[in-house]
Amino acid sequence: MMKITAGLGHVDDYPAYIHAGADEVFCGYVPDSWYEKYGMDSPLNRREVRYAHAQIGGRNELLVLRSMIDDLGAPAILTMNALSYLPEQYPIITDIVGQCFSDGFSEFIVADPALLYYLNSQIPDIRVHLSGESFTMNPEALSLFDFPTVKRIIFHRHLSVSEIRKCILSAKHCSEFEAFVLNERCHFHGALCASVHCDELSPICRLPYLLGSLSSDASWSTRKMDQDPEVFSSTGCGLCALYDLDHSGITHLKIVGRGNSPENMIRDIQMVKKATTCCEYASSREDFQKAVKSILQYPCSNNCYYSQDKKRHD
Amino acid sequence: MLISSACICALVHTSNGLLECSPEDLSILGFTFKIPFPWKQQILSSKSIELHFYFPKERVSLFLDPHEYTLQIEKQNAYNMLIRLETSSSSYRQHAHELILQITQYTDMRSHMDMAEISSHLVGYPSDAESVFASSIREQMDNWLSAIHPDASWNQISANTALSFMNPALLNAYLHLPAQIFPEPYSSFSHPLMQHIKVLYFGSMICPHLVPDADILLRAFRKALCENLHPVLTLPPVTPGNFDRITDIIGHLLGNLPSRQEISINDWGLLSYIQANFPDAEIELGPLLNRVPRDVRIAYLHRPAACSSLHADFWIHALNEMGIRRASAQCHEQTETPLDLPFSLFLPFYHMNSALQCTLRNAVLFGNRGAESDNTQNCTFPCKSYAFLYPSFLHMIGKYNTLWGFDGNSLSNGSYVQSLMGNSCDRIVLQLF
Repeated sequence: MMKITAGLGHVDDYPAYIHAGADEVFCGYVPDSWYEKYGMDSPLNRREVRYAHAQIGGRNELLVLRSMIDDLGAPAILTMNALSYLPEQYPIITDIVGQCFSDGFSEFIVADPALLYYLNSQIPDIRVHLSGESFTMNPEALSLFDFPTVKRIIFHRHLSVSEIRKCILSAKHCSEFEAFVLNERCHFHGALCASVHCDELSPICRLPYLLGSLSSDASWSTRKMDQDPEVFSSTGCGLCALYDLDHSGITHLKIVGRGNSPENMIRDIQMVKKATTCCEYASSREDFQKAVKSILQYPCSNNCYYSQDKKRHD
Repeated sequence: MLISSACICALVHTSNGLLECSPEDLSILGFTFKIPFPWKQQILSSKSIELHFYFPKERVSLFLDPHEYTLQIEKQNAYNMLIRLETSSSSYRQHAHELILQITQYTDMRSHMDMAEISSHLVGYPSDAESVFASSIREQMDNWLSAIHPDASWNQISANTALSFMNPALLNAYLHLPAQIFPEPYSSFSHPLMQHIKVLYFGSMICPHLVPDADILLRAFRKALCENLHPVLTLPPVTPGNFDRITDIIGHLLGNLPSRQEISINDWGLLSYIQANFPDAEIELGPLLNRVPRDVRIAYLHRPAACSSLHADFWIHALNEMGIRRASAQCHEQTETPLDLPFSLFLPFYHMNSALQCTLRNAVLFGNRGAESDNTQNCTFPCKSYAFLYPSFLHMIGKYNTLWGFDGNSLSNGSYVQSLMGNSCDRIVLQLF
């Protein structure tokens, strides 16, 4: 059965997520030494906010998390997934990773190919989850960074299931493959996004705009998607594609959610767990989709991931 | 008040070393923090505590000696103890009060205001201006281009100029023009850059559908070579569904031209393909692979000069081993440390973000920019007829599948451009749409 990996924003939520059905969590850890030197100007991972609980806390909470993992068994993956770093930061990150290793954390999500390269040369025992934002969106790109340290490839949700399958078939060292299933909201591709995501400014994709004609002086508003994060699957859902994802070789399903409320995350984990169970027993895609629609307690949001494959099947 | 780890840290000095702890429930009397069981004795007999308060514009450090605080176990569960620290330190109270106030204010703003208003309060962002648009795309572009007045310092710049033909209509027009004549908007663009045109960029750095067919590219390359101009093939990020078309184009082009052609790549997979099949090709790392924050509003955050992995020696060495000898940067209104390897500087439009499921096509075809769509299906090129218009003060536009910023200063202020060029920039790529 495909495993569920859920975004963890606060260490206290770990037991509840695991009991809800998550097999793994991923979380950000930013040591004080990083904040001391760089503040929010140069984030260590993709959560650049000060006021929301988007990271677990200091080393004390990392150690507490370790004790929870030792008890409940579901691993935690730490995110070091900023798109790029200052030259001086690569050895600093290596030291942070080394400290995390000594605290029992050896798997990290990485999006910067330079960081992957650096860590591969400095810490051969590291296990990297190559982020969908690493700009590796085809088999040939993955082959360039197919180091023995890369344990898992995370696919961006803008790839179709058939494209994901092609990438999986070409992977040599890697044995785990992860796809987004819920809550990744953005229309734009994370690897191609240079916007700031901070407390002070909204992301560029949220700025007001009009659609304008190039040949006349007309311009008009277009419909904005209704995205209420409180509503299940409102910000995007790939549940109907689980059967195809499973058969394409996907081993892990990602529920985005760092910064979301724990109640919503638990709800989402439980829904995905039910859906993966349906997938386990379904004999066909149609069988699965019928089953999953019948067990979901919430109306379909129609914000469907992987719908390009759906259209082909239809 | 529950508080995030990015606001405050408590470094507890113990006989066993330092433990970095995140305060949780913060008040002016003290705070709680979790500790794992093995650290209990060490923490309870701590030697001192160093507090770091992080405010938006400064960090404040405060040392507490053991006589200034008390520690008590408040509760425990299966995984940790919750320790409560209480202190009567007036400095602590002052800073804690300030932090709590700040967080409370931010939380209140989030519940009562939209993000534009919050930005206005926090960083002086002109939220009212978000409702002011140019009357049309055409007017917006005219306003930008008419405000360009190159100053005398432009005469000191001696790099070659490249013209970008990302717009397929420009390329088609170029193919039908006499030698050394370029299509609008380049032909009427009066600027010192136009005196040094030596390079032409054909193709697209953002969208596989905008890469012309191989026969058109071949004609363009041959025409450029006849005119003693240096053509560069520029290629976008490519998903598996589009990969074969792009590699067919590369194969056809390089198979019919002298071997040492230059290709500007924005995809690691295409790099791998070209290295394996066309080892003589000269490769430029395209702008999308030089990733720094580029945001039209970044000046409001007062961040230091941008710097990317391309400034790291080990990475430049690795890229050299991959056959990359030159890179790209973009003018984007923020100071950026110049690269140390030969590079091209793109201006005045700079890339901010792109969609693989084209947001422009989705808006035109489905009335909804966020619709899920197939990025491999044949495209009808709505980008020929439409673009996203943004509030005038932002200087940005949604053209093709990309949001672009416009750095008008880059075409007026030569000294600014020189500061971005450093010693290694030998080419300025003029990107007009």
